[in-house]
Amino acid sequence: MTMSEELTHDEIKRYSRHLIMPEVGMSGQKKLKKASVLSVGAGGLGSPLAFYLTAAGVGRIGIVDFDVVDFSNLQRQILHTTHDVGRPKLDSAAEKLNALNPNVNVELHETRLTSENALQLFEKYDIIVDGTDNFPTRYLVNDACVLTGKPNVYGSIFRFEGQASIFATSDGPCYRCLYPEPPPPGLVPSCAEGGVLGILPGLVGLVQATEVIKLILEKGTSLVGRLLLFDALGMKFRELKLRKDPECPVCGENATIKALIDYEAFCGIVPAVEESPTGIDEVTPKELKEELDQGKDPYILDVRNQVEYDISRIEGSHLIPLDQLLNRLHELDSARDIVAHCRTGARSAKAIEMLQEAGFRKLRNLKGGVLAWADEVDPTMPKY
Amino acid sequence: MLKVRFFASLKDLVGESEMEMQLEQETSVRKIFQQLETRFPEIKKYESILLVAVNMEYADLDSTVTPGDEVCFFPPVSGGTG
Repeated sequence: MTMSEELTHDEIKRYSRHLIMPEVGMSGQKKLKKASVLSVGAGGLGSPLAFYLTAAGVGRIGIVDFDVVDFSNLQRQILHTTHDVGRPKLDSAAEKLNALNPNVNVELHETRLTSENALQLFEKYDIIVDGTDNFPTRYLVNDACVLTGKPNVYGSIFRFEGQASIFATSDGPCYRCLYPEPPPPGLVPSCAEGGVLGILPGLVGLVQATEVIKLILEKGTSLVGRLLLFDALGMKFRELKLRKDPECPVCGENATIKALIDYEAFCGIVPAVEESPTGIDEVTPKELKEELDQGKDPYILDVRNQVEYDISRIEGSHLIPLDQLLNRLHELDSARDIVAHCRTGARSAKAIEMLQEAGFRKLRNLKGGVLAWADEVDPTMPKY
Repeated sequence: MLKVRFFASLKDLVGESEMEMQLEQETSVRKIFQQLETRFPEIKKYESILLVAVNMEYADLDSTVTPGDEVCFFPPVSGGTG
């Protein structure tokens, strides 16, 4: 055991720029070697984080992910290359990280983080990094960190803005102290819906990596009790002073949450149902194409945003972005058949509900949106 | 005067990242938010889930604001691009 805690000659050469700094030195580098970090996610935040922690010589790095590399990941998830499209992210990550530093023990957890496995998984690591992309998992990571007493190195991004902090330490707030209640589903757009500047997760992921290193070295001033806010468009860093909420249900003095809960239900997410939402008629791309070929003339309503319309559109469609729909109802003819669509069919289902409430009746949703149209009708149409 | 800043999706909703509002005397963040609601009814949905800061310190809707203060509204952000 003591053997592995010492640095080999190769390692001393590799980490020499660390070793000559008094803040790291031999003792700090040995701390890094002894440390273990779990990254929840091998995506936008997890990619730069895992790369740099591996380069820095953190002894054991775990990664939880169950996703497969997609072309649309490559704009920011730098662990993965064009050749990796279609491979599990973990395989791709392990290959890159092992090539970068074979001294690091990369542990792969190919699973979805759940209330059933989170505590057991977190127990094995010193520090947990939140690189997830959805609210249920963020609350799960937070609560599991509080319950296991592990620091939660948090990062989050949206378009040009990023945030980072450290939650769930004994003297600092947790994520629930800031946001006790999750947003209702659909209110806050995800990166898939809102977009994200590719370099942004790079910046935020490396802020998280920096905080991890400082926690391990026990040096500097950590982000505990501070929320770092980064705006790439204005190129501004701001920080917000946080406070621990004594009434917090998970980390407060009289905490009521003593075990992990159902986070999907907590965030108001009902399990996905394959069937169409009740009360909404659907039309498949093939059926719509046949109708158009037969000379029928439904009003094809595109509720995506202008930028999406610029990428690809169904010929003859009319763009009214969902957020403008209620103000532009006068442009629609309630006597005419309306076929609403978006990218996948979710936003257009919302549009149809809004139109139903406004008294429209002849409404159908294009099943699978423009992505399905591209697959089933028009293969020349780009998918995004 | 009072400076109000909006972040992330709220910035999109309001259409700008910051604005100045008339403020003659002490009031609460809630009153400010209600004034904003009359101009941007859509932000009502965010009321219960917002993180609020006054002069870059954690605050809540019942916190006091005085002329010259800066109020920030941060909706939760989920993105990590998994």
